[in-house]
Amino acid sequence: MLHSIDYFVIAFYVIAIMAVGLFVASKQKKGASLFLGDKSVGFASIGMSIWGTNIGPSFLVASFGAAYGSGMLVANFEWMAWIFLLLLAMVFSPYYLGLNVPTIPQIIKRRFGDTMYRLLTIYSLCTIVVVWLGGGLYVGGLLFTQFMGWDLTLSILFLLVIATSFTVVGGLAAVIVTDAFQTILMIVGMAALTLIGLYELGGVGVLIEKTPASYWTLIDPDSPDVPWYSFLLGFPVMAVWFWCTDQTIVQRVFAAKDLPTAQKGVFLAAALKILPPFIFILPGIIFFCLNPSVANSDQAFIAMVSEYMPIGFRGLMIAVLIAALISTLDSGLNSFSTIFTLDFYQPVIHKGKEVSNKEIRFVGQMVTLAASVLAFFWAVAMGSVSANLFELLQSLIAFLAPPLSTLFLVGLFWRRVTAIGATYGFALSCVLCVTVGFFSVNEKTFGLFEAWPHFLTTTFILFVISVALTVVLSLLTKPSPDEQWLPTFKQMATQNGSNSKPIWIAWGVLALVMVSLYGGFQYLASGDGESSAAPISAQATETTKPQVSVYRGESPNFDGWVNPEEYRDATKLDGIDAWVPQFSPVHDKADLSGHVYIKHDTEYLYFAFDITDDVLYGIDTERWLPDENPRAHELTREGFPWFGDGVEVLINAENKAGEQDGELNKGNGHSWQMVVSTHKSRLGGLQKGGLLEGEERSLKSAWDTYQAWILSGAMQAKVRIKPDLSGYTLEWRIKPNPTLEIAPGVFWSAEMPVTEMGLNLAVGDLDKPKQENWGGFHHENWWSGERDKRTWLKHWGTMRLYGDYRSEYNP
Amino acid sequence: MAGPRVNNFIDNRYPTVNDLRAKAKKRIPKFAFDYLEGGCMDELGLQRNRDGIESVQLRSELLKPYAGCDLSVELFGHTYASPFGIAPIGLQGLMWPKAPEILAAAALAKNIPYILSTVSSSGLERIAEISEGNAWYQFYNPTDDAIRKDLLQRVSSAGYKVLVVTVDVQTFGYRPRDIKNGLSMPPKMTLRNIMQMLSCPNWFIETALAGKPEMQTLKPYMPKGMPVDQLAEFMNKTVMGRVDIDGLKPIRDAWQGPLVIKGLINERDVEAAIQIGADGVIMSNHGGRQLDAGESPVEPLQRVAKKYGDQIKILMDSGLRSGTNIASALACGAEFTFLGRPFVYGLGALGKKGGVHTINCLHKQMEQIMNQLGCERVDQLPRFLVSNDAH
Repeated sequence: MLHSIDYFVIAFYVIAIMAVGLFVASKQKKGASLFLGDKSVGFASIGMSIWGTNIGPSFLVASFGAAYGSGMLVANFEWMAWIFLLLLAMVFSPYYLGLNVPTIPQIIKRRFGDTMYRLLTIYSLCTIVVVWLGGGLYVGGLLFTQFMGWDLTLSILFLLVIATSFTVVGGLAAVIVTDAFQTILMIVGMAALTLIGLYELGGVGVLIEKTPASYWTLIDPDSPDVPWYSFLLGFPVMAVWFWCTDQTIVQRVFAAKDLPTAQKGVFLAAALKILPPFIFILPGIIFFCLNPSVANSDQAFIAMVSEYMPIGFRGLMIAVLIAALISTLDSGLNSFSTIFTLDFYQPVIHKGKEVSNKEIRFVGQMVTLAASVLAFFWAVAMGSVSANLFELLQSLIAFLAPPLSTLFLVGLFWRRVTAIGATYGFALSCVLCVTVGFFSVNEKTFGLFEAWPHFLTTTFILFVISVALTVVLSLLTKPSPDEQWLPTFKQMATQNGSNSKPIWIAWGVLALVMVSLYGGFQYLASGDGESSAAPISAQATETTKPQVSVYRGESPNFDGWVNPEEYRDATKLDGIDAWVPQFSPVHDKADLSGHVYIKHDTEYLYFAFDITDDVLYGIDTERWLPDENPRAHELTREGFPWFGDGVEVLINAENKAGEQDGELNKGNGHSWQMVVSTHKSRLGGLQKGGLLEGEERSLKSAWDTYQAWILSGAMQAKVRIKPDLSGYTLEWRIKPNPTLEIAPGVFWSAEMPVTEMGLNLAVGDLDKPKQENWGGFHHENWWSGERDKRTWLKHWGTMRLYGDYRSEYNP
Repeated sequence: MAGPRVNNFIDNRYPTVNDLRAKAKKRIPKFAFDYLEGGCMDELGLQRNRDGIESVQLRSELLKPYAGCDLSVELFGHTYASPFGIAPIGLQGLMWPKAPEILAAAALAKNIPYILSTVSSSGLERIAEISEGNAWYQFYNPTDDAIRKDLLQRVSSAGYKVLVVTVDVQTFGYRPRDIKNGLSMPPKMTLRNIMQMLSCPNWFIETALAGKPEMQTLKPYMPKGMPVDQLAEFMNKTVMGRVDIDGLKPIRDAWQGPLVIKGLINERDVEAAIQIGADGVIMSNHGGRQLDAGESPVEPLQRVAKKYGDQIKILMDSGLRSGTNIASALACGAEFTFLGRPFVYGLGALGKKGGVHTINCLHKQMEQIMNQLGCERVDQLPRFLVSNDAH
């Protein structure tokens, strides 16, 4: 998929970013702090660095996929973040800068003394490894592998070398400056992807017209994925932890030269948070409109890049992914080194004695290298253990938040908390959270309750328990001499003495912008937006009947298995789940999806279906009968040939369709409707899937003709159930004579010029008895037509049958 | 939509079409700008058109009483505010997103005719709606009977005033710039094209919001999924068929309203147009885009106007870039003129405001010339022509 120009773009990016990082490193004064960048970092760099650090490659790909699958809902994580950044800027930052410390654990040390300090140091190092280094690197490496086709270990090593190089030499200053560059690259790259997608789709009007209104909703009280109360309760616990107390994010605030700079920087990050829904999430929706048939939404990003980005820009998009990873990884490496050196090496190894700047710097660099090596092995280990373990660790992140959120919210703002209360509360809470998290992720309930609630609900409950533990333990104990009160918020504010009015006005404006964004999208979601969309010309909407061009190809191996390679010269019809539903629409691609290949080899016309269907009637289930027909199983005119999972092909070879409603096929070579079932057939009986006489069964002549076709081999089909029972494939071929009678006594042949015929296709899906629909059908999706009218000749689509090979394919 | 409010917008940074062109060149991607600018073969015809119109000289009459000028012209039962209209340009949406919409609205607001091209990026129904039935429609002669009938039916039921049949595209123009650029509609997303698009961010963002340009009017007739490179051939064969006098007759029979034949230079062709009952001809060589050795329409215009001016309306386009050029064309005997490229330059330079701006500029230039000549009505302009009958 990549061209040499793409590799050139990637190489150019890698060299450029390393050059920038190393240049910043070389400009540093000798003995400058590796951890605070000499407190000389400007607000723009702080803001962009927070933004870039936050957005990793897994976030990028996952939120794109989530948008592809269900729309804007995922944007809440972005558009709610500003509230917590506001908290960081206006509440936490005055403390952090007022106390003038380089790490989060040292703030806690001030308040609660050494024991708590040691505990938090260990906690911080663990979370950095889990959250920032290992997981991100593993996922980044995996993506890189998919794009570049490299080995996973090599990918991880490659990415790590880039990140480590300037981080070791330049420390935080280099990290922050390169992060700013990466942020710009991500914004430009993703904006280009969004605009190109929009361009291909046909502009904003078409986007609004094509997107299901539900995709625009940001507030969905009935969301089955995230209950609204879980989000409302649990998200703040995680967000306070992530945005306000996590070393990797907060270290950028520590590096600010003064409070106004820090506040401006954090504000910039919050304002930039307006962007991700437009450039990371919207393109997912755009791609859904362009191609709704990607089965696995995690693949959506890659699919869009390879389908719609031209040569050169694919390389740019990979550079964007690398940028997302490096900007996260370098920050993690640096904060690991910061905490290890300042909170472990200095106080524990040197027992708190003065250590020269030079030595601290050297140790910090060595620790960065060591962290990098640790991250490498951690990520490689993740690749070698089962995928489940990786998901488990990722899910556990949600359970890391309650202890630290509690410690900061309660410990810093309530003076009655004692060192013992805080320390034991924190320790117990950690143990509890990890345990609960482990069982919750593994879905072990020990029969105590039916199922674990949504993880955000659990997180909130754990937070409440943590707070209760800390409060009760504090009330039961007395303050120890180790601890001291921190200044009050008011003292902090006056000490900084800065005029905070402009920054508050800025936050007010941002709040207004956010509220109007929510209002705007709710308006779209209400469906009113559709009427305001640019009108599409009448002619364009009238021609919605689908068309397909079918060409000659190589004869496939007619064994029932559908191999994309043997059909690469065929025409592919995709997106079966998005076809016209006769019954319930398909929401889940595992439930029903797939594609059809069509081609001919002059002797036969081939239809090859590759269907994903999680529940196979009569194979995964009992063979129940529909209420409508107790004789549905019979292979007679009284049976229901199409009852079960299977497909139908309908061809109108003479291509005559009047305007009258209800005109059906003739049941002969001029026009017909046949069925292939997955569990029964004329030739194999009730045990074996295959061809059956289709409609109109009530017409004796049709039934006889169809049966003669099957028995003579004029029409043949082979069905295969996929070994993992996730669906089935089938090949179906028909002889033009007698089945494609384009005029009385004239049968289609490849020598003829392009011939148009009516065509319709259907895929049926039956999952469990007593479904709400007729016959208990779950789905029946049609390529063309409307509900209840799909068998009318005039509603069929068009097949243009070319005698020759497709022009770009010449064997 | 706001009504046809009098809009006198002029951006003083761009008083001439040349100024607009210079700005537009920076804001329109090269492949699109080349399509707009280019001629065929060695592009000698382009220059000949310019030379032709610029060789015309006018002579003032200063001392006679003068009551001020009136630029309005009555044509096919409608009085237009200026003696010029917007010529049909194919693929306009490629050069500036929503170009037909913008120009049709501007033409309506300023009361001049807008001719929509068949190979336009906007649907004819949409433009009819915007122009409130005041637009003209440019038509080729589709070889496919069904398409021709259907298209004519659509044009007539959409309410177009005048049908303009283009007869000077007997073959697809050989335009080296487009060949080199690999121009297609919609444009291919090659690295080179994308780089050109990105270097014009205004164009790119507006185009993305509007969606890729496609031939909306013809979309229903195009086979779905046809590769872009085959599309040109399809268009060439199906939509732009050769047209001769026998081809024009059924169109004349089917179309009740005024019929204008566009692209004539030869006197014999004008005679034929009169024979089949056309109401007007546009003397034109397709803006120098079809026959590189073609003559400028200026000289034949003078002869044709004298000979047939009382039998058929004589209109003119090709090579006009200013009020002076328009006045010169009218002085040579044209009753009305059309300009194509200048309006698209206007869009390129000024976006949505470019249509009205360009019309206002040309109108203002015309006024100044009329006042200077001492000419009260545009049909009196031939009196001010410096005649070269002498030789």
